[in-house]
Amino acid sequence: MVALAPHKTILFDGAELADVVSWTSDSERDKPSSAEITVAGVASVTLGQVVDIQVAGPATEAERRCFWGLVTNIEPSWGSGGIETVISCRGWAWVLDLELEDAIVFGGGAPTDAVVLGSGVKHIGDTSYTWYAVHAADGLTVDYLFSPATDARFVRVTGRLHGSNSYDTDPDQDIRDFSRIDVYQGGRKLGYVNLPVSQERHDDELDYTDDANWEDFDCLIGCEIDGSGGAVTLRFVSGTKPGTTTRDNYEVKGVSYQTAGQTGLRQLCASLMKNRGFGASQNGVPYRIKTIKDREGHEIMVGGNGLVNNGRIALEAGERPWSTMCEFANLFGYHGICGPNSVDIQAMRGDPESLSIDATFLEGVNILSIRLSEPSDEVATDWTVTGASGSDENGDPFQYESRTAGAPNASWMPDPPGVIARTLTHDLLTSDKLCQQAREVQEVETTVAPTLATLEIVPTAAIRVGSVVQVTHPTLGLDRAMWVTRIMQQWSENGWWTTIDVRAPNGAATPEEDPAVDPETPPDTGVYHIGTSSIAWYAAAPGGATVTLDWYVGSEPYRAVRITGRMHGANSYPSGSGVSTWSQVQVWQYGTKIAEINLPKAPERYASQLDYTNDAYWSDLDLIVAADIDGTAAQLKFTRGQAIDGTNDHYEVKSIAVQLYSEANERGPLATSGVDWHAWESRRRYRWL
Amino acid sequence: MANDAGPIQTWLLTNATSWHDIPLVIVGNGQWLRTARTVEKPIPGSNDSVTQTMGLAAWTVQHQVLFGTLDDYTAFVAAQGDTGALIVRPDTAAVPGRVSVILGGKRYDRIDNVKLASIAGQTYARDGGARCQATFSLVES
Repeated sequence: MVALAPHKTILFDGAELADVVSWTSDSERDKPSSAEITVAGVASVTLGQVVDIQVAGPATEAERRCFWGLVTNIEPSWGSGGIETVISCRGWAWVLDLELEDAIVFGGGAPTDAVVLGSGVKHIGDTSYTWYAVHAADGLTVDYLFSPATDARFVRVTGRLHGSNSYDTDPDQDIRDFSRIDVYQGGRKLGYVNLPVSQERHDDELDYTDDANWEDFDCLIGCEIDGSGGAVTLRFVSGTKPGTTTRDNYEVKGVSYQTAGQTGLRQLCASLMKNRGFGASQNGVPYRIKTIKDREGHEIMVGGNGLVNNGRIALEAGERPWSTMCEFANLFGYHGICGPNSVDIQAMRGDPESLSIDATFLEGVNILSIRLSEPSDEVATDWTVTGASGSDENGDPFQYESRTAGAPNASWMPDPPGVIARTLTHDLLTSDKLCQQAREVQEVETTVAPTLATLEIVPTAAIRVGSVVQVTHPTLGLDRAMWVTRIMQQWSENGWWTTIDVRAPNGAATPEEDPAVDPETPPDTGVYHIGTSSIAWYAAAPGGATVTLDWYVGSEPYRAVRITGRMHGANSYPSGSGVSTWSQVQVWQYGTKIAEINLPKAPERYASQLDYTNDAYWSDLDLIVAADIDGTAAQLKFTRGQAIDGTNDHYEVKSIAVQLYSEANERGPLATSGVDWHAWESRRRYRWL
Repeated sequence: MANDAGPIQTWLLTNATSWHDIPLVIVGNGQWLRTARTVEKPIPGSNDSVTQTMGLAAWTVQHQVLFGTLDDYTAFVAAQGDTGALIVRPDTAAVPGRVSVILGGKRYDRIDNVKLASIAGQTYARDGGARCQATFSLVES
């Protein structure tokens, strides 16, 4: 017999709510999670309060959070059935699902920060002038070189100049060859722009050591720069006076360039999370965005195509960031998860057979019911993925596209089989390559019908959406690893029950690695008793009201900390008194507490004096807390709480491990204004004179 | 039964047994009980099941209760659902939380926070008294 004594803690802004009659929670991928709590009487809660539902099955098991969010509706009712209040709550992703008040523009493909190529003065021409800043000419051409970081369709060159396309006599402007900037890469001329005419009144012999006699120039050159094609040369060329061999003489200084910088899709999502107030220094809600990759493991980079929205990625006012992020992620088999401890984006694609199993469900052991399907309507044999469309620099229309070639036929299809065609279109796909990357992912998911199942299981809060579980049901012929796509919890006088939806695409596995997640520090081998009194049946001697563990963080900044281990007895009192001050784990750095999180309740039945040298009486600890940590030493401090009646808490922890989540290279969104960026039409004018 | 009523009034003149200040006499030997609220579901494909103990029900007792007057009984009926102190003779069944009190020179057990959950099987006596079966439960403070 599986005997459980479920217990729960429901907190509103950290205070425990009594008289809960029932509650339900529902978490599904790509949707904000939700919960509904029914309380006897009129509940004293308010809109926007933070709600935290924690639950455990076995009597001594530590509770795990299964919902974390905000109160969004309160409905008290009064009638023959009595007085009760139904409190509706939404998970933290709901905050991300509110419509944007203003547009947000991300720097995918927008100019990188300006890079100064040379601050000194260069004299382009063939004649010495004593009133120039540099008397002797540096030559008819002067080169500046830079290495592009990515593919780009433009380079912007700025600086100061004087005298370009201006001659000492003859005011004729019908110049044969303008002084200009040529762009070369790999020996091939990619484009050019004529420099502006800069009258300099040769007869006046102005002093060009005085910057006041110079003027700004700002040129945008349309050109196809290959990110892996080697150095790019910006060549300043001296023009020629018409009908003569007289060369133009001019000077430039402070030459800078900007070109496209692509943005990783992960960076974009992380930036959006930050922009919407998530993270340690804002609302304290951690977010974990996995590096979004194609099937071959290459990171998905977006933006950077000057033909599409000037290379930028813009979210318009009124768009819902959560929906948009999920749309982006879904293109590549990633999904948004409004989890109990954080808001995440992670891969849920392909057969998860090779991934580690978070839980196992077996027929006759912990499966109470199961319904299985393999829907053929999810099969597609011919994918057409189309991306952004527009007009190129010649005014010719284009649309990026990738189509399935040589589509395999499902064995169950008739002969001749025809095709099951599906299309996917998204403006985020700004190259044929991106379309291909998205198509290849979609094919994995749909080449063969996926296996879907809905299971009612022995209740647990140990899995979350995005977990991989092994489902073994010999009667239905099922034995495989599957993704958890939805978890529904129900708690009432009729018990606590859990229903989950699971899915396994039958395409190829696409195992992933995540360099953004630092390797876990090896678990600490110590057993720590937080408290000041000896307890004979505890595993360790008391270590004091606070126990500190030191660890070395690493070299880069991190945004979230996951703390795992084993524990017993936290926030549990022999008197049965409620909690006044919670026992916590805190993260410290430089002598300052930078994050804290309450330990879950772990009832331990003091009267039973359980033998805590036996690990069977311990339960798992698994917490995620948002924390801005930089790369140096840090401390974990386990602190002792207190009951309402003044009793101090005693508990033990062991096998404590720390995992850090990085948001390295995160770029914030560009300002919605103040980016004076040329429309493509004006760029074309520069290039196609 | 009607013969029970006469002596009750007389008995109550010298005894202070009551609930919620309504004089009454408890007869019989009802026992306070507390049951577990248990839910069970079978696990298909096995001889096993999942049982969940969703907590404990309140301490509950059923007593035969006698009233000396109809007014007292009417007040008792109207007070269903109310919570008050139950004062019983010390030889009445025990329950956690009872305290000893001396009233009129006699010792009684006083049990606070006792709710009158329901009544059943009422009988009226010819001399104006009444009796019924009352279910009391202990409200956790």
